[in-house]
Amino acid sequence: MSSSSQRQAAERHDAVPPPGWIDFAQRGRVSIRTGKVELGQGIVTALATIAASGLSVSPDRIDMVSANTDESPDEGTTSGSQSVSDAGMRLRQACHQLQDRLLSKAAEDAGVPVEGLCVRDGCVIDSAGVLLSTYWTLTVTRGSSDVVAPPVPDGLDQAGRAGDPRAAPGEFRLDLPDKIMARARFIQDIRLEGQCFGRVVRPPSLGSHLLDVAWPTTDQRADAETDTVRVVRKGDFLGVVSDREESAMKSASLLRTHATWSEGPTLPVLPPETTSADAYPSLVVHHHGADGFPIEDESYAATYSRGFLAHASVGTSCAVAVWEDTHLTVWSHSQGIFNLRHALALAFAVPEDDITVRHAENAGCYGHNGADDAAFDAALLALNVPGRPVHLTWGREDELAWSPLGPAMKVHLRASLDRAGKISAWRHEGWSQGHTSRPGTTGLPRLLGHSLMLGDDGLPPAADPPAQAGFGGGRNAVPLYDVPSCTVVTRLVSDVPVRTSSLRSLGSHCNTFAIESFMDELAAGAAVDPVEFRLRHLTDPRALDVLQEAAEMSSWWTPREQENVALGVGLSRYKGAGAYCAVVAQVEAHDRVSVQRLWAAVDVGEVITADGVINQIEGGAIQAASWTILEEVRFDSRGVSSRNWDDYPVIRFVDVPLVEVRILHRLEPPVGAGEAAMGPTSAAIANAIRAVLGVGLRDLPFTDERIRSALAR
Amino acid sequence: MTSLDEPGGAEACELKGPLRLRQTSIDLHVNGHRYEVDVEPELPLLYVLRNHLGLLGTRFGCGIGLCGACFVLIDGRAVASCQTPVAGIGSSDVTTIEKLSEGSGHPVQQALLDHQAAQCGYCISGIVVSAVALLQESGNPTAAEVAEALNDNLCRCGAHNRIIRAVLAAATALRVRHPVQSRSRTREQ
Repeated sequence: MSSSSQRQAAERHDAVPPPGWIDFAQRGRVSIRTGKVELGQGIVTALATIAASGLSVSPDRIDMVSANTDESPDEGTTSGSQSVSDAGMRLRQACHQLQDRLLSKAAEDAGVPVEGLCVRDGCVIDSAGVLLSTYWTLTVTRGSSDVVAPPVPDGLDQAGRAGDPRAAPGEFRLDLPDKIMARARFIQDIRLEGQCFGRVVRPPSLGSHLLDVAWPTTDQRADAETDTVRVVRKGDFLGVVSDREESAMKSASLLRTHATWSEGPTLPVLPPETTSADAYPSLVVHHHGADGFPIEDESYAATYSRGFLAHASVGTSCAVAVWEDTHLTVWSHSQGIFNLRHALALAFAVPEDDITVRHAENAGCYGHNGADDAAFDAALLALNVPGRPVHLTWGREDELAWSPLGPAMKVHLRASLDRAGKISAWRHEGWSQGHTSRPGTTGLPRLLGHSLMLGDDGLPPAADPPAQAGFGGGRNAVPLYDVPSCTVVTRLVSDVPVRTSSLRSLGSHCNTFAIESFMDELAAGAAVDPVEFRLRHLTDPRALDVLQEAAEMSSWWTPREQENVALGVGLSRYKGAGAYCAVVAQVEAHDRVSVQRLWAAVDVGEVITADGVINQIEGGAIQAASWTILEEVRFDSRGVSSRNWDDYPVIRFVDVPLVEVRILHRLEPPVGAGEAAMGPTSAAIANAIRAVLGVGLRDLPFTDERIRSALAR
Repeated sequence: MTSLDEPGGAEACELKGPLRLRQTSIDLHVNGHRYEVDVEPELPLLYVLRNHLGLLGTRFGCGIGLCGACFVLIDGRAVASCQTPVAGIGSSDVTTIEKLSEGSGHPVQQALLDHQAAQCGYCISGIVVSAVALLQESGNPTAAEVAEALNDNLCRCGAHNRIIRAVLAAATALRVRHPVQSRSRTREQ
């Protein structure tokens, strides 16, 4: 079956699984092939849980096959918090259907009615408890079909903690034992026969071109060892390949000092000042009710912003690539292995069938990072050593300077309050660069190294996901609250020479920060408690529940005794159709401001793995806390200037708040938790900081410096 | 093979070399074994471990000692192996995560697993090393002391609180297991 028809089959919820999705080839084991990939979010474990439950087998029998373009279904990118709702529900349906088919076959083979049969751990038993057949005997096409229950798997090291209150069987992450015990598992650990190592050398500034490479003359000392180095140069692409990693690193270092580049154009001030209403094409994301603001009502306005954000994963982008005759195999931590295959096919002008992309795990992935670019870099270097795998890793500086960034955003809000203190009109205007520039989309490779190789004007500007995909700059720009009239307009900024793409929650983070900050300002205008003000504008019971739960968890209604402690609240429903999340933050102000505690109430509908949900909400909240008080990418006239952990600090252990997460269980379709906490957490912290200091800060991040300046004014 | 001259193909690669490396023979004590490696003396220990000794559990994160992913124990102290030239180690004992993982692993690792205290897991080798160094010095740390000891380790996925709880649990397990040793350690101090 071709990959496009595989994709079509996978998208219909009633599809019978394509061959190989679920197989019983190995006795006692169940192989599941999913197109979704492990980003550190635990999705592979969640899918294994769904499969085990759907097939009525022990979770220990499930083998999740790492996604690759040869064997796995094309399930799109692993992004947007939709793996459980899309791939997960498809898988569940496929498992149920398969179980039904196998039960029918078992009944037929035994000449008994199917109603009396059930499945226990892959074994079909009748009402008397007699073993009739097993999944493995029912699916065998040749060889022995002895009906013997397969042995209970002895892989119980992670699940065999009887009475463990913390996590249910199947909740223990399948990949953690290897990672905690430091077994070779990450993409950085791949070591293949004949492997050599590569490094790339990036231009010193955006838009500068490679003029000359003066390789230093060799030292003639007799006792020196030698190592062959291949320098690959095409256009502005510069890289090295050598047998040993240290030689590749040393050569790259030499090239950095011995390559001559032209000066790039001076960059404008970044983030850009984009307050002009007409400078960019606008998109009406939403409109209802009357235009304008009632004259008799009190009007409020505020402008909020955030800077560019870096993914800043602890691991750097990495890939392995090998050309064998005309076939390219790439190992990558990309979120979208099929998109990457398509992008590489375009970049190298070869058929897609001549390329295999295999997913390999890296450190946490929070969106479209440098994974695909590293894959291209490795493949280009590998063209020069046919038959030999090239293992390529980006340095930390390149990672922070050349990966796509989360766009800077500006949001201008205006609202009116009637005499009863209720919102009578609401207007949102937002500016943002595009939130997607994924490789292989819009018919272009969109790979950094490929653009450098062509020596052209750079990568095309990012676009925004459309409405059906939940918008980009417009994501969560429509407030959750009941307002009589509402207009939401976003503008796509496309002339800023910064490469932007998807970063955890896309526009939802800044939009929710802005809306929730503004709600607090309006609440103050109405002289109403911030939570009470929100409750008065909500009728969605699920929103009401998470908000009230977070208030209760944080003892919101009990005033804090200390003067220098304050609470703040943030609420959102991710993408307007996903998880509900309410966060309360407690902030303390001494010589500096610190986030002490976060309480989060979340509703994801049906819960697949509770521990997975808690991890994603807590992890997302802590990352959002870091975004709120520390992070923004810095630029100088040449490009990104924040290229290490000193210049781009992320939150460290001593500053991490305590986090408590409570899940509200609902029998609703399951939705993902991975991005739900970002906006509410930033908003809650921002509101708490404003409350404790009494200053009106509106531009993220709220660094110590910004807070001091605001207090001084 | 795709044409090297086409727009999608690679440029002629220029074969450069030789790259002169000033290698010397260096003795190392790693995980209780003695090794002899032929490397440049200023090569960071991280790459000797990963590429010359096949010990892949110690990780690259930044190369400038700011993230902790590359931590190893040298004479019991947590040290950034990316910033440690291999020639400067001498006869000191290097302990990597592989040594700690022997058998069913160190109590810190067992606790991290029990608490499911990791998300992507990339930072965790360095964190185990920092935690082990802490627990060798201090048998009964507070949560704040654990956070302080781990402050040189970055975790971007937000597993911090679980990690701290796991380290505290490991400290308890170690005290329960070796009460005599922990008392004598205190006396030595």
